[in-house]
Amino acid sequence: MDVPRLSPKETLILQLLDGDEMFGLQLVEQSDGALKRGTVYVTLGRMQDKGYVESRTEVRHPGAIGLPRRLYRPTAFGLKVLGAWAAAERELQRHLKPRHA
Amino acid sequence: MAPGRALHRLASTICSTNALTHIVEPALADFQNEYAAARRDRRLRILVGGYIAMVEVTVMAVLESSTVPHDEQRTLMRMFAWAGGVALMIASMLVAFIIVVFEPQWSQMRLIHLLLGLPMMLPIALPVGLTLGIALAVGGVVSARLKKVILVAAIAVSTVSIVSLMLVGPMTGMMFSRAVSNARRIPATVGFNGHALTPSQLHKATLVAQTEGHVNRMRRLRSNYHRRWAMSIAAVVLALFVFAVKDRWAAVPRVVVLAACAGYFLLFVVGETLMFEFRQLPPSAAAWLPNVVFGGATALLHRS
Repeated sequence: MDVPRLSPKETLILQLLDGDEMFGLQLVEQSDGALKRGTVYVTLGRMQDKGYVESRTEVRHPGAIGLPRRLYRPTAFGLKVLGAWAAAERELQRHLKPRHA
Repeated sequence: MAPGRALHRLASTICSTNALTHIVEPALADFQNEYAAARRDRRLRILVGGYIAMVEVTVMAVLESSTVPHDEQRTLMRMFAWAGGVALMIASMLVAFIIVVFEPQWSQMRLIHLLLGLPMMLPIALPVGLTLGIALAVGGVVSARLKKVILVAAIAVSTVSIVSLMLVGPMTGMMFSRAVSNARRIPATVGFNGHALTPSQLHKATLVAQTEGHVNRMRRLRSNYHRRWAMSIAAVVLALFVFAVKDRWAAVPRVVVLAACAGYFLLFVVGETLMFEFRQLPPSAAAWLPNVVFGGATALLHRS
């Protein structure tokens, strides 16, 4: 079985979502410049293909103009992968610490 | 009215349905909502920023939609790197040529004047760069998928050439002429060939030359007009020619492709000489001679 990979941007998105629902632009605003408007949607699309996040279109009120926005939230699998990577990182740091100390 | 509708239509024709639904439309929806919710004084800033982001999103979505396999993507990257390098080298050589020709005036001119020649160099540098890029980076017969991508690139190069030769080139050509004239302390002219004229000015100047009976000038101007169009499609003509050559002989020597590029542009000079010195060709035929010869050669290679 392939080990699910998590890029730094994907990690940040899962951390920012933290169980909530957000629009792509909200993620960009809350990332303090770490996520770019031109690339965040591609990352979200890839994360959706990998099963890390799921999305739905917002419910529009009558008279709203333009396309309905897409809301993203982490899946249980996405949160599990995030947790596993965080645990692996902690474990790696724990192993490396004594050598540098 | 919601912004970005034209971009949405464009994206729907060039992106896959998946990329459109999961990349382009969420980005566009956020942009449209941000614009609608913004105060009036902030709208222009949001509009400009939103459109820049949307262009980036659309390009990313097109790349995501791509079905080109990884090894062919690497070949394409290599080809574009070679094409860019060769185009840069040719542009540098043309700049060096300008420096040599206008050497007496350089003391009174600025370095920025060199850049004014760039729009006129691109229609030569880019097609040759792309053609040599294909020869240097793509080994063996070119696959149908690669051909499609390279042809799209060739059409993009042709579009840049049209914009350069029809709009930007005449403007920068005139600025360059003025700079040279100022350095020589003589009045600026548009030149006998009309390189610094826009297509509509060129048309008017041709009519004036015809009315006044200046046959040579009329033929030069008419040839210039046709040559701009003919040269604009050089990238497509040369790319199709290289495909045909590689289909026939997979391991074609690179020097042959280089000679073909040189031959193509040399035919413009041959056509001009036949038209002007020997009066053997009408201006339109002289300008289109390279495309006719290379188009014919491509057709013959395909048939054989």
